[in-house]
Amino acid sequence: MRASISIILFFLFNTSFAQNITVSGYVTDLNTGEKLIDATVYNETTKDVVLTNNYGFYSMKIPKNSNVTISVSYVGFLSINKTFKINSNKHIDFELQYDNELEEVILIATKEKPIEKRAEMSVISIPIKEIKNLPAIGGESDIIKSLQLMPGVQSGVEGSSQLHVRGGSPDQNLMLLDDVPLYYVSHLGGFVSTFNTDAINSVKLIKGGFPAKYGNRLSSIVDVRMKEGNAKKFGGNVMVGMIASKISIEGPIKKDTTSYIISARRMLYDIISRAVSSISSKGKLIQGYHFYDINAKINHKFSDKNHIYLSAYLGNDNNYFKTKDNERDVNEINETTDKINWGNNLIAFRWNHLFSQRLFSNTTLSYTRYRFSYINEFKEVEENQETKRISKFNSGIYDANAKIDFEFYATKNYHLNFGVSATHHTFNPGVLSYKIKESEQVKDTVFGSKKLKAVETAAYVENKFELGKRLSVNLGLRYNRYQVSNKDYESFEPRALANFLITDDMSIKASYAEMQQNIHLLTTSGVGMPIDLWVPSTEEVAPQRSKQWALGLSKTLNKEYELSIESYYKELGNLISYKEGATYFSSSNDWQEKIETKGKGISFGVELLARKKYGKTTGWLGYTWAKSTRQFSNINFGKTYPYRYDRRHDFSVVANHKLRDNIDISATWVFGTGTAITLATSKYNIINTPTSGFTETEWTSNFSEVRYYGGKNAFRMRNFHKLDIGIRFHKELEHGTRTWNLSIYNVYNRQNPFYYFYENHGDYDEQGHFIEGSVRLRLKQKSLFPFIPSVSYSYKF
Amino acid sequence: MKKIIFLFSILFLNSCIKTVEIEIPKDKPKQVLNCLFTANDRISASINNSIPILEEDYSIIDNANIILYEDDIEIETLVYDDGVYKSTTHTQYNKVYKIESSVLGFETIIAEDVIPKQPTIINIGFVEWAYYDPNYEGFFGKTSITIEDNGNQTNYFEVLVVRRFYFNDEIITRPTSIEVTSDPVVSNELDVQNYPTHLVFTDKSFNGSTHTITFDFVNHYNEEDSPINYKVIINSISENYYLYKRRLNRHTDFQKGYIGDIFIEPIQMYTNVENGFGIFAGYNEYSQMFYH
Repeated sequence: MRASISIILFFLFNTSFAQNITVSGYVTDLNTGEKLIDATVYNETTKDVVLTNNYGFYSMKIPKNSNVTISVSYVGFLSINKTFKINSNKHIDFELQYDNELEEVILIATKEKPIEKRAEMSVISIPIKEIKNLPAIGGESDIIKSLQLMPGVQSGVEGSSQLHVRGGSPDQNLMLLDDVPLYYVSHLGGFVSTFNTDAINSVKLIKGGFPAKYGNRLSSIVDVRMKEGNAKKFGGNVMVGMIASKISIEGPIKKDTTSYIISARRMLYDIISRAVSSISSKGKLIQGYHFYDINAKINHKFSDKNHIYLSAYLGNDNNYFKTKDNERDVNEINETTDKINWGNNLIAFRWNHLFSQRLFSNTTLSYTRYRFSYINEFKEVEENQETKRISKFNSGIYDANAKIDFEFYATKNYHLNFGVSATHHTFNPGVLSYKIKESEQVKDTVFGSKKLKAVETAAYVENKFELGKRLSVNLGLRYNRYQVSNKDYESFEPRALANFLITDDMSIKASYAEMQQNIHLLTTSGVGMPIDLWVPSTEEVAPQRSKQWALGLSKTLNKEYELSIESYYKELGNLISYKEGATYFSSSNDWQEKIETKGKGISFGVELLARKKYGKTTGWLGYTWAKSTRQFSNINFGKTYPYRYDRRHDFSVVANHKLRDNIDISATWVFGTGTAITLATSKYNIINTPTSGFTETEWTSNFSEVRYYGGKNAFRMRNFHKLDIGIRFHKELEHGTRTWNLSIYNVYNRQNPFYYFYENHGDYDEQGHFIEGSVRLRLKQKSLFPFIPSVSYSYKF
Repeated sequence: MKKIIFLFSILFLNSCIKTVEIEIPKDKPKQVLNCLFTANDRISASINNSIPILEEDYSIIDNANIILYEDDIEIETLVYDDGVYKSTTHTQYNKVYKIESSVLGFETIIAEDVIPKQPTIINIGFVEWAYYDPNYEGFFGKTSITIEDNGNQTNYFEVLVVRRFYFNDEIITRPTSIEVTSDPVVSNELDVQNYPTHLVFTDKSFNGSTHTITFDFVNHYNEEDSPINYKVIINSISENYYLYKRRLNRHTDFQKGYIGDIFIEPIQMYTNVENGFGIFAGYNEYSQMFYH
């Protein structure tokens, strides 16, 4: 800490004598006014490079009274140059034009800040346009599934929109939508992510080397930014797909000053299923499921110094199942209704304020909510007597947050980021209520876990500086305080990252990060079902902790290819898990009675990534070798066991190719070591009770057949691999562009295992008669996603 | 829980689900030792073998060479008699017993355990038919057991009620099913299933003091049977015995083939047999008979 302060003072002192002035401003898309995040601002005279921040803002030192040429570039856009001579601080905005001519893109690519010069590591960003080009089931492009194709990231089970980053569990990923956390980011039982790509501007995944501004998750940060809405002209997009259909509209309320975007998506399955199930069952069964989400955002620019944003997200999944039986007598009715709902709400207000050319601030006020509810209603009418039984299960998490972040561009070699935040959490880890109404009598019973409130405060400081031409460093410290009931958990989390240029096109990177996570996810499924329970750290359950070390090499080859190799070692502590045999609704009232605490985890591995970002053909090749284990005192007899998604080998190839101006093709192939599961491989008989007092006949029947599992997660399912392909046809129409998107999931119809199970199975003779004594146990595999072709149509205007 | 999973499965996945049968590598069979022994009694052990999960036929092992040790001193070789290997020596409290079994074609197995001190029971209360429960259309009995605990060590206990009755002119002995008590000493043992035939627990919450545990047992059997007597048994059990019993019922519950299988982790069975499976564990019984 003392060293950090010395460094800060040195650079601040140094600044006062420099003959430099500051130029700052925003980089935006010329056609839409959308802010460009991580655009490169390059001073051709001094060779200095800065990147725009999450709001498209940059600040750069230039020599006073000298001719300076600044070029600004961004992937997929034409770069622009401006030459000027100024003698005082100045605000200059840049507007870049989107370019379809790929050859031009190759030219500008040379000016993007290359990977080896970026003072960051373990960071992945995929342009939304590239995500939309990837093959997808039902034509529903998915941010999370695209990230799963990167090294160090896994999906868990096939089709799931969960992330397992560097051996971490899904709850250890901080999912930020416009700087606000979302807790459960899946629709459709975990198979579609909540992020609608039509409403998203950018996505960035950080797997390690975490900047101090991020906290409260152990394994990764997924920073998703919504679009701001076209500030130039009205436009929109309509898509009809096999999973969902969606519409987006955006435009200026006042040109270049106020704009909005509204994007809505809905699954339409229930419209058909309700009707079909009702007709086919003659009204005895009605079932339906749908999800929807709405993203909305409005922003207003008061001046170059003040800009406000209001963004909202509303997402919900509704599952409905009703059976009715009145066959015996019209006066006797049995009705059962099950309703399952879950979803997120989020609202965030943000204010960007420039205190000066060098001091940028962002203030955020937000509220986010996740809730899950299951309602079962049973109605019985018999001899005009009605009995009604209603059981409800509710769980949820509610956060109100305020924070302010500052970015201080002190000198051309030193940037200081700092900020504070406070969050008020309300946790409802699960309340079950029963209501029985019989004749005139009503009985109400409520039991389960108590609501819990907690306050979390944090402060951080990040020092980004360059020492000479070759070494850039980011040293940071985050302080976190979590207050729950009568307990305070404090943590000081050091963060360090260094990037050293070995040659002009190759660097070595190293990082260290400590993290604390104050919430936990209790899961029995491991699949990412909404029934997984978010629970807080309490007086008895300490926050999760992690330490991660990473070391890597980065290189740009032929100015077109990014190559990187990274190794990491991660320690996890204070993990929780259900006790062996405990389940969601098991008899104990409070979740804390059902869990094991103080679990440990270790993950380590090596990741290789070769990526081509520019040209007619883009894509990447990723490979990960990794190992991830867990250990709890009372699970697996205290022995260390493989994490369920411990995957030794993980390989992916992703390719996009522009065949013609109006046709894109894409393909992905993935391979992964089989999932680790607990599966019986032997069986034997074991004695039930002491034989004392039993007769000899009883002694022989005093045995139970038991199974031997070889340890928790000791068995590997078959390896996973599949090929997906997609093709997109674009056509310019009078008022816009239409696109047909054809995809094939699992082209060669690989039967990848979803789960294994044992089943007793008997044989039948040729006449269809059951053969006595033929029953024996067999192992079976369920596969979910065979060869699936799909099509979607979209129209952009 | 199962309903929720069922709904998800039906609505989202069913259209795509494919089931295929697969083979798995066969585990090499191992010896299985089963022996629960008590003080002042002869040791009776059975030896058989494990089989690969997809096979059905167990074979009897009648050619095992089983050596019994007492406090690490070899005392005898057990003799095979009608499916069981028996000792001539009578066991004693607080001695360590070890068994070593060798069978051609199998790894040699070793297991050892002690017989704990007999429990100190202050009182046993017993009511044969305490109340009638219309939901179950039958009678329940009630038992209360007051235990004085030795505070110098962790002690483990097992309680059960054994019912002896005539049925079709035969005398049958069966442990009764127990209504799970709300006593935290028992309910904190998470593995307690519904209506177990025995309860196992530790003295963790009453170490060094006296505790009374009360529970009801199912006493509504076939009307044609005729009760003779009841035996309330309180066993001091070894740690190995406790760990094995604690897992046995839950283990068998969770291996059943219902749809929730994929979401609920199986319970692994405990064994203290090196290089093999099964259980070799000591107990010391205190019991009291109650007549009909």
